[in-house]
Amino acid sequence: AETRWCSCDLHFSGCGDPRDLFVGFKRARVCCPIPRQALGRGLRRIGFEFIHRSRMSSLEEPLGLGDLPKLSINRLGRFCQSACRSTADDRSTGNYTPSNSGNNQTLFHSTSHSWHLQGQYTDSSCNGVDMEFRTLPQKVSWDLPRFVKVVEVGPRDGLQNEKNIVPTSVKIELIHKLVASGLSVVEATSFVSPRWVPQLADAKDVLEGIQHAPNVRFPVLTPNLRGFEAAVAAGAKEVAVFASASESFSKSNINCTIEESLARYRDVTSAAKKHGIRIRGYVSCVVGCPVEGAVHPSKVAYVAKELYDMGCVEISLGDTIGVGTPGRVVPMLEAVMAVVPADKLAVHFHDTYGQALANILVSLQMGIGVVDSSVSGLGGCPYAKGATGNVATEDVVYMLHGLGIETNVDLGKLMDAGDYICKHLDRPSGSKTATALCRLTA
Amino acid sequence: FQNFELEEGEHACRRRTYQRHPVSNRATPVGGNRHVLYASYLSQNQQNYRSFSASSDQERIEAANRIIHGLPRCVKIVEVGPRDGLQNEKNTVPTPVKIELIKRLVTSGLSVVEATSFVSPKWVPQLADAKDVMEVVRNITGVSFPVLTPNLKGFEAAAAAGAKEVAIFASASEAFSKSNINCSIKESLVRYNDVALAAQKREIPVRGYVSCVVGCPVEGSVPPSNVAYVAKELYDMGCYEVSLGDTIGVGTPGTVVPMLEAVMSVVPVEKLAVHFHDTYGQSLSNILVSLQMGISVVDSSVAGLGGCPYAQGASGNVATEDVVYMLNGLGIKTGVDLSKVIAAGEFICKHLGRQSGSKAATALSKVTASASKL
Repeated sequence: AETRWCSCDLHFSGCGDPRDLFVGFKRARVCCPIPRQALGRGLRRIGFEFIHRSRMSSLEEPLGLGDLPKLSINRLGRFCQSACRSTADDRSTGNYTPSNSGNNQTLFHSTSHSWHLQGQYTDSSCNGVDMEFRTLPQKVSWDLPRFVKVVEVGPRDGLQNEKNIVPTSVKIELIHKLVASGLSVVEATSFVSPRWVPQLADAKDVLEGIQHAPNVRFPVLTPNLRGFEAAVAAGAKEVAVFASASESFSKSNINCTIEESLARYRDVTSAAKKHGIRIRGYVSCVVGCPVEGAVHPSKVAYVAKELYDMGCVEISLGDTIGVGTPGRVVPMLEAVMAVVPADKLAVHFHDTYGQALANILVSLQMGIGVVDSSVSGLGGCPYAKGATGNVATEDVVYMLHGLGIETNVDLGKLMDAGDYICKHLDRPSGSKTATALCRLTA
Repeated sequence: FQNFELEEGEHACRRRTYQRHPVSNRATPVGGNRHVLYASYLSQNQQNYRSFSASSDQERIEAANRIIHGLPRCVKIVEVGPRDGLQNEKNTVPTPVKIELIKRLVTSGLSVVEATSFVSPKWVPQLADAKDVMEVVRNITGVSFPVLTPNLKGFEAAAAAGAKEVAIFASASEAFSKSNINCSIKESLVRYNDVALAAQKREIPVRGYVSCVVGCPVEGSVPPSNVAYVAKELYDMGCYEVSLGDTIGVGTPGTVVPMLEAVMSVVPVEKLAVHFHDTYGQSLSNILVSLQMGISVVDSSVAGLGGCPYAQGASGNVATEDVVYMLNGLGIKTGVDLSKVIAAGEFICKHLGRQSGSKAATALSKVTASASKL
């Protein structure tokens, strides 16, 4: 049997949890769950497993031209300007080795090598030779954060929209599985009146039932002082408050104006400070409102600043109805970032129109380093029945890992958590990544 | 700074003036221990750059400029639903339905609609009626209807049926080429060269596709140089446009950008198109970075028609409605009326008895009138 390297690149098959993986048309045996992020080596990889047929000692070492699949056409030489003269034959038979003159720069596999080092990428086939290559319009902003914190809102924002109430034990188990995948912030529940949100009536039991892990935080929503006190009594160490950037939405959603809601939250935040409890602020309708339509960025900046000034350690900007596109999101972020430091901001996009990942990408490009998402895309959109809501954590993590950004989240374990809750809800996952990756192994 | 001033002609749909950042590394301390580094051609030493806190107006404006203001003014959408979408359907769609779909797509303003494929019905029975579809469609003026032609025989059939544009596709991955079309990359390019020559004689434009530009279901990751090589070959043999396809949808901006950089160093960016699959939900962000890189042609499929043959049940093509929604939001002209594309999508989904694969279409059909004010 052919020697197979596990995709973790450390072992022959058999190092861990063996799984059959259907790759292309062949069934292959791999030993580690996919993909391996937490190996502590910053390995960058695309989020599907494949068998390394060639010997790769470390994915961090760039591959030389000799590692390219053999192309029988001897025309790689055409890439070169006339200055570059290594024989095309050498290239095609894989005997080519980079010359030792100059920088000794080698070709990079895009997936195995962090794009951070793009600076070393000259023309692919002429290494170590000083040559003129076409200047690329390098427009893409790659000032991306190195680490992005993923805030999981599935147990709260996701489950609060479910028609059928999920039992407390299932909620607790879901939270435990999410923590096990490496997520460090999991929004556990909401202390709102069960009259409004019956799905989260067991808030106290959930909070008391969760096993607290070091360095993991469980914020809970508290719409007012009463909710806050109930949360504290149940042992909450972090609370969240939410204000709307749109007056009409504030009135229709929480029955008061923006100013009134901010006044309420000031009470909550001063009480929280007294107890030494952290507060996270949410701004909803940061791009569009189901009642008013477009929301002006200055309104979002105003509310964000108010929340920040009253003591929120992080402000999450939510595109509640998912209508945002990068064209709207960027001006909104510009306005908010003028009054709140970028490292205090998070983005909470809904995928109702399929725009969430593109919006997250531009947010990263603007310097935001915290993203809210929901496992399996739990949580529909109450304003468009049957449409999707939250962006799926698996899809977000897949993109972040593909960008070479650390998250400390193990996608395989995250998918297990998603699997668990979807099985209970008896529905397919709302995550395309999870769907694709399960189908690959089917 | 290098200014790329582009002609602002009457019908110019080019990139706006773009300020290119200095190539040298510039670390600007911003509020403490964060640095702004421009990632163009960073040297090895700059690996440990960190995120920046855009606390100054200037930096924020610059960031916004880089991100959304340098995008193409117009983007051409190439609709592949009738071909790439329908060829993956389990049940064959009747010819009149296909034709009606194509007509509805045309009325939405799409200027390029891939009509069908002249491949052997043995391999793709869903498109066995290529000739019949072509016979009707060729009379529609003002729109291009490229058809896939895998070899000279297919080309002859296409030309006989009245096709005025053809498409050829090669793989950037050797293993995929062998398993998908039963020959090596070189052999396929030789075949296509014949097609290109024949097309040239008849003055029929040829569109080239490169598949597996990021990942291959057999081999795994695909080196950007492979993609650049195949793209250049197709371009050199006369393709007026080369569409780069992420066949299994595994790409993310982290892998797409190096691939585009490689290809753009050998093929002019105006001749390139991107064809992303949404199997992992990544296509819109991939399309966005492609636009940021200067690409201005995007392939998509109405209602996200077309699954992924390598992951049964997973999604495939990106939905045209979602793409148009994003482009509209970015202020980019497409010439496409979103509501009419949605209508075309509804038509075909009703026939197929399924839900649309487009989130924007689903949302817009369910949302209340007031929320769609946006």
